[in-house]
Amino acid sequence: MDYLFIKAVHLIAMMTWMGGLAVLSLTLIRAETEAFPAKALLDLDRYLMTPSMLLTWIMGLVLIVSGDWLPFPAWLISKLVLVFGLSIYHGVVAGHIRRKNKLEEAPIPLIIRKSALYLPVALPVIVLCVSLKPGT
Amino acid sequence: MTDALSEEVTDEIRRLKWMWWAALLEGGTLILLVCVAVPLKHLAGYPVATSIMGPIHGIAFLLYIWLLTRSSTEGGWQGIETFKLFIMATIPFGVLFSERSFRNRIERLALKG
Repeated sequence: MDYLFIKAVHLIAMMTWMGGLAVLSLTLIRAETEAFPAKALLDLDRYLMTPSMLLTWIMGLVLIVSGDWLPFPAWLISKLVLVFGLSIYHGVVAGHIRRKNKLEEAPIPLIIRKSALYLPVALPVIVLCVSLKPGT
Repeated sequence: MTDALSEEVTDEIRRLKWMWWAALLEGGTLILLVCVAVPLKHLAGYPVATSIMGPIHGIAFLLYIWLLTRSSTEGGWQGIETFKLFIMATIPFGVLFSERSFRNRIERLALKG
């Protein structure tokens, strides 16, 4: 497959994943004050976000291998660490949505509310790393 | 009440089975990478082995960590237990510990259910 085509698929999947993650984390922050649409969020996670996350990972690794980015430059290592963090954040948020779907009164820990800041911080840094490729 | 309990137990068993498979996949690819691909690269001069196994293990590792965080949050597992399972994923043959840990939990829950 063409490198640019793989890159386009990677970007589309990443945008879908990040958009869904923003919706999930914002709804989770408001969970105790507003109606919580757990089933809708569960569907969003299951049918849209999880497949797009998997596609983002796979296409990203295909880009690394086909673009001959080995050994990893510093900007790529930074990006991979941030993506690893985003995947963990997604896992935690998705776990809470599932927990809340079963136990409506399940509280949202403060650390989850605070970590919602991770997404708007990590995403611009990832984009800056990839666009500017500092150090190369 | 009993139905709700057994439904919860069934749910937890299903989640643990997923984790068991993911742990085997992650651990298996790590063993292949460290014990086969890396020696092939450095001793036999076949760098292609690591460039194939590296990304495969990368995906398996990400999948395992993602499932681990999701399952531990959903099931309300203890932090130290999740941390141990995370550390075991980074050590070759650590899968022997995590695989047994998931299997024991499944057996305990099956008895309970």
